Amino acid sequence: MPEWKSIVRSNLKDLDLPLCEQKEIAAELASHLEDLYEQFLAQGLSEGEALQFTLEQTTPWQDLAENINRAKRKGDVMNHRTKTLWLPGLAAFASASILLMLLERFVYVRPTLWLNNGGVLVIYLSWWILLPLCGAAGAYLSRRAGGERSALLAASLFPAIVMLCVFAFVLPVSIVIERNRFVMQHPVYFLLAMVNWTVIPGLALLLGALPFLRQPRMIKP
Amino acid sequence: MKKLIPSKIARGSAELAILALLDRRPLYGFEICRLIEENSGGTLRFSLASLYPMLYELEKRGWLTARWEANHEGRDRRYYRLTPEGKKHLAPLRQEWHAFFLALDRLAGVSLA
Repeated sequence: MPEWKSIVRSNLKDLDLPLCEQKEIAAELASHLEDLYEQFLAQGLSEGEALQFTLEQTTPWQDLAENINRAKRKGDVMNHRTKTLWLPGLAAFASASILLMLLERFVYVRPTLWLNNGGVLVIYLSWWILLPLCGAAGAYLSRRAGGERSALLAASLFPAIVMLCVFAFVLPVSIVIERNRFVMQHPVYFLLAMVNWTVIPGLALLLGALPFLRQPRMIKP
Repeated sequence: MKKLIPSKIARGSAELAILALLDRRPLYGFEICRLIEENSGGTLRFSLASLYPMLYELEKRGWLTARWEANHEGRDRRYYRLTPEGKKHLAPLRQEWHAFFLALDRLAGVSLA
C-alpha cells in the first residue's frame, strides 16, 4: 500500500497555511487517495495501474495547492507569512525598542555601542534581563496565528536579526566606502558592540521563546 | 421581476450538487465524489483537485462544517455537514437552477419531458 500521506505532503509543498491546517489537509487528501486506490484495485486493476489512475486525480499538484490556498484564505486581508512572521516579529522589535527607550529615560544615560560606563551597563543589563518578554511576545503571537516552529523562532529573534542586518550593512559601508578610520582602528569595540546588540539579545529573546517552541498540536488524525 | 441566472454556471452547479447531497446526510469527500457520479449516471464527475478547494471554500463561508469521524470500516474520515446557513442558501440555489432549466427549455427545447 503506498504511503499516501507522504505522497501528499511531499507534493503539496506550496500550501501557504498554518502547519496544523496543512497536516489536516494532507490527512484528508491521503484518505481520499487511499479510498480511490482501493476502489481501482477492487475493479480489477493491477497495483501499478491503480496507482497511476489515482495519482492522475491530483495533477497538477501546484494548481491544487494554489486552489486550496485561495479557498482557505479567501477574505483574509493578510497572508499566512504576514500573520505568523512579519507582524509578530515587528511586535517583538517594537517592544524591545520601546523597552530600551524607557530604560534610557529612566537611567538618564544615552546607550552607546559599547559598555564604557556604569550607566550604560545598567541599561544593557536591564534590557537583556527584560528581553525574554519581547521574545515570548513574538513567539506567542506567531503561535497564536498558527505559525510553524521556524516562523515562531524568526519572529521571536526578529530584534536581534534586525540589528545583525544593520551591523552587516553599516560596518562594511563604513570601512569600504567611507574609509572610517575609527571603525578600522577599533575593530574590537565593534565586535563587542555586535555581541551586545545581537548575540546576547538573541540568546535572551530565545530564552523567552523556548516555552512556545513546542510543536503545534495537530487537530486530527 | 424574474431572477437572473448567475453567470458562473459550472461553479454554481457544483455547489448545488454538493449542498444537495449533504442536505440528505453527512458525507466525506470520497463519498461525495462517488455519489455525484452515481446519481448523475456518470455525467457529472469530480476529481480530488476540483472537489476539495470547493469544499474548503463552502466551509469557510460557513455553509458546511467538517469533523473527523470513523466510517463504517473504522477509518477516520472528515465528514461534512450542511449548516443552517448552508440550508438557507440551498433553497434559492435550487430555484435559480429550476428557472435556468425552464428558460433553456423554452429557448432550446432541452427538457426531457
